[in-house]
Amino acid sequence: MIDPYRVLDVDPAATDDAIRAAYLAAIRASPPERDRERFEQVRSAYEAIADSRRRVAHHLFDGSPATIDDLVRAVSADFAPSAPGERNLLRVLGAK
Amino acid sequence: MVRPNRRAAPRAGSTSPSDADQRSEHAAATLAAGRFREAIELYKALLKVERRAEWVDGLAASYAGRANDLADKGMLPEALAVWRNRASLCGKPLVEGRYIEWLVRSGDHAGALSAFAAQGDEAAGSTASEREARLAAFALVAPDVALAMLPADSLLSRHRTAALAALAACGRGDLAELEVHLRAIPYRSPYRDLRFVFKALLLVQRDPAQAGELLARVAPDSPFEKLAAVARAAILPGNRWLVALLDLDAEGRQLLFALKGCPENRRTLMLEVAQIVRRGTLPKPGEILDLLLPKWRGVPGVAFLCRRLLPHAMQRVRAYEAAYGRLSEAELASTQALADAIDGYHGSARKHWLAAVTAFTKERQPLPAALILRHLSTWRLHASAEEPFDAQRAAWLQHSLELDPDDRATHVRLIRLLRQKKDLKDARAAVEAALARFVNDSEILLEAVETALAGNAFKKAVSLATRLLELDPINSQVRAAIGQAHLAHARKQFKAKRLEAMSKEIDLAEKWLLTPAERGRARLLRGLSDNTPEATLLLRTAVSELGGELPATLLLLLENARLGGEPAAALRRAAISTARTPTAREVVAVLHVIGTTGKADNRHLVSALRVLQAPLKRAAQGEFTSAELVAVCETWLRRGESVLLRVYAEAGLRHWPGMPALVYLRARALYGRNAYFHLPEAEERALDRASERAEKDGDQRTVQRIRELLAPPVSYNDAFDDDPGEEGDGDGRAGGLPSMPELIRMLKSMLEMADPADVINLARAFVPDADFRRLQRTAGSNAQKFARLLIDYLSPGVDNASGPAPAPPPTHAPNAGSRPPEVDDRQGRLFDD
Repeated sequence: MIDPYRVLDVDPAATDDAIRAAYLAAIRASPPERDRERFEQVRSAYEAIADSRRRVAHHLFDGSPATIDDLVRAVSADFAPSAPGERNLLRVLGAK
Repeated sequence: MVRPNRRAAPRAGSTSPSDADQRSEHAAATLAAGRFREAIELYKALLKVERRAEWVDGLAASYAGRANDLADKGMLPEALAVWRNRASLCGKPLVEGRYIEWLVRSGDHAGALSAFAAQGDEAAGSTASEREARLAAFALVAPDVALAMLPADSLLSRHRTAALAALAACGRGDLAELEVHLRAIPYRSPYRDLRFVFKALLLVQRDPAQAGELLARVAPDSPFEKLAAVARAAILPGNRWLVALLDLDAEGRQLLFALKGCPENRRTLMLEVAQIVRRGTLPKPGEILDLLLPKWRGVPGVAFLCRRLLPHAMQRVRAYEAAYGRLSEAELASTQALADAIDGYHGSARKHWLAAVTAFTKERQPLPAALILRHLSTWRLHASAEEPFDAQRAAWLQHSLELDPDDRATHVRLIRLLRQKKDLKDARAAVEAALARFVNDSEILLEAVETALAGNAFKKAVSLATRLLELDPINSQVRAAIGQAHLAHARKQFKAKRLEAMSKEIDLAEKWLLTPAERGRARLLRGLSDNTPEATLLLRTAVSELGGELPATLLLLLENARLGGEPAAALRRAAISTARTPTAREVVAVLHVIGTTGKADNRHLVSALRVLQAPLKRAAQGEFTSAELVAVCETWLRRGESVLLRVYAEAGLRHWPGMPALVYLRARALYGRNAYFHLPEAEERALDRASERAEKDGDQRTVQRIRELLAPPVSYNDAFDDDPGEEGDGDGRAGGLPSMPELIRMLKSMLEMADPADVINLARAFVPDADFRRLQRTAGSNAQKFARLLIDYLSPGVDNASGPAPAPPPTHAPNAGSRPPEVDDRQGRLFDD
């Protein structure tokens, strides 16, 4: 299965409440009538990690292979989008 | 590259006027053909003879063409050199055409600005404005000395301050201030595209759609295209920005990283990841661990990914432990178990899971230990001969509940498992344990009712059901369970000839049963229980309430069979004739009745279907859809009704000739599962064609089924056991063991057709171990001889053995689940009979 933490965009250490909040936000963003596939994905993800018992089970028994998306998320999960930066802009325009 | 044609450029001084005209025409043709290098040489040669204006223009045009070619190939210094030759040798102005553009593109800002300034009034008009626009990006970053070269009224100078202020605001991410400064840049300004690009850069995260709309307004040849390209990459969905990242230059990448918030020390890693994204295939788990563990283990999300990858690359455990510390004994065992399960080594996985249970328990982590036991209890692959699997499964579930008693679903599973095993004593104990923890849980109460009914603890079941209905008044399951239990009891009273007690039971059942169908079945029972005119009337009313057609007839026959009655008499009393041809709709409704009939009624269902075989055969000609007909056939296949299966499959094939599923089903009806031994060639060809057609239709199930039907059986069990769900109907050729002569014939034909190993495998099941080994020793390494010896060994008994071949020795110990249920004294008191 697709990494449920990535589907719900939550940290592996997230609490039940945080995961539920992420789940509700995700299904609000993708209701079944708009995007059935995404909705099912979100629901499966939530079912996999909704509470600590399921999270432990997921950790123990999930043998699904990682995907490129998993790799990208792993190395970029902590990215905090920022302003472009004046110097970066000038360098793109050709400043030495 | 076109090499100059030296023969086309004869030496100067040796040319007559007519020659010169010819060569001039040749040079013009060469220029027109776009062979600029050759044209340059031709015109140079002509100009050595005479400096004609038309030849000077020709040379200038040739230089211009060549310079454009070079610039288009990105060879800007070479293009500029050729252009300067054009100016010096042909007396043409230097600053014209694409010269400034090439200076800009080659990074010579000062040169471009001074060339622009040098144009003066000659450059006025739209062309100058375009050139200004092209210089805008460089004007923003050019040194003051270069800017001083611009004319005083140049728009580049006049709007530069506002553009720089906007750039600073954009750099800080201050959208409000950016808007203020952008308002100072008018539409005719060479900096006009900044109004879209800067705003888009600040909206890439907040509103990518709006950013995209703004970027769509940036001209394709904008001087700010490099900034726009970064913004376009930043708004790409998902991981696609990483692919776009690779198409940017170094400065563009840094800006994109900044927008995405990538820390500087991780940018080299991101470039490696971007290459992976562009390739579209993830490297092997071990390779990812090799990439991440040495240098990037500190990245927050990496530890989680590496831990997830570990079962896929157990050889990296040491590297993982070097990065993140030693795994606990339990972690290591569970990781190894998962690795084994992934690789399909289930035996080893089971061993490691059990080791993990012990280790987690030792480490005072009961939850993972309990979860592993529950996980193991779902495996159906590894029943060992020493310990029947169901018993082991129940033991695991019980142990898991000791470790983690709060899992209601496990309580329910354990109760059901014990009930299925007929281990009612333990099932009742499990119910008590579950009810102690989940006092008023309707699901547990329902299991308690079912368990009580299974043990004939009828009063207890009613009391539990009443308790459940107080909590959940519309629970139809419990009502049906109790109602059916009353009806079962009523049947027992009928068999014991206690008709009054039976009537009471039916009264009670009617109180519990709510749906007309359920109550109709209760009336059927009441009607069948007596021969009085009132009972007969009741029977007919019940049949009518149940729809009065084939499904009602089947229900009547089923109920009659349960009571041990004669089918013909029951049909006569209910005024049902089997001479009528049922409709397709009735046959489909019959499938529902069959589907809802429990396993316990299988015997009765077989006899009822036998009574209905004639009308069902006639109904095969009805107006079914292809899907309905296949569903009907599948039901007959599951039930082992090969006569009906053949009739319906053939009827279907008349409507839909060659339909793959029906071809397969017909072959199954005619030849059973072991078609390999019986199929005529024509049938084989028909199946091949059906398989091809199914393949084309994307019907993989039928393809697979036909493949299995045409393949030789791989073992004795495969050869002679039918599907577990298929019950033989007596006239199919699939069921039952082959006779001994049949077996010998089969072995001989296999020896002729196939590898002797197949014969040896099959014969292995019939030859005692000691004799098998003796024959093996005699044959030595000659498999063919060994196969013949085995056939000879089995052959002497053929003359006298026309019965079935001996069954192969059992491979498993008898299942503990088959032992009779133990009597529970507590339940005995509650039994109200």
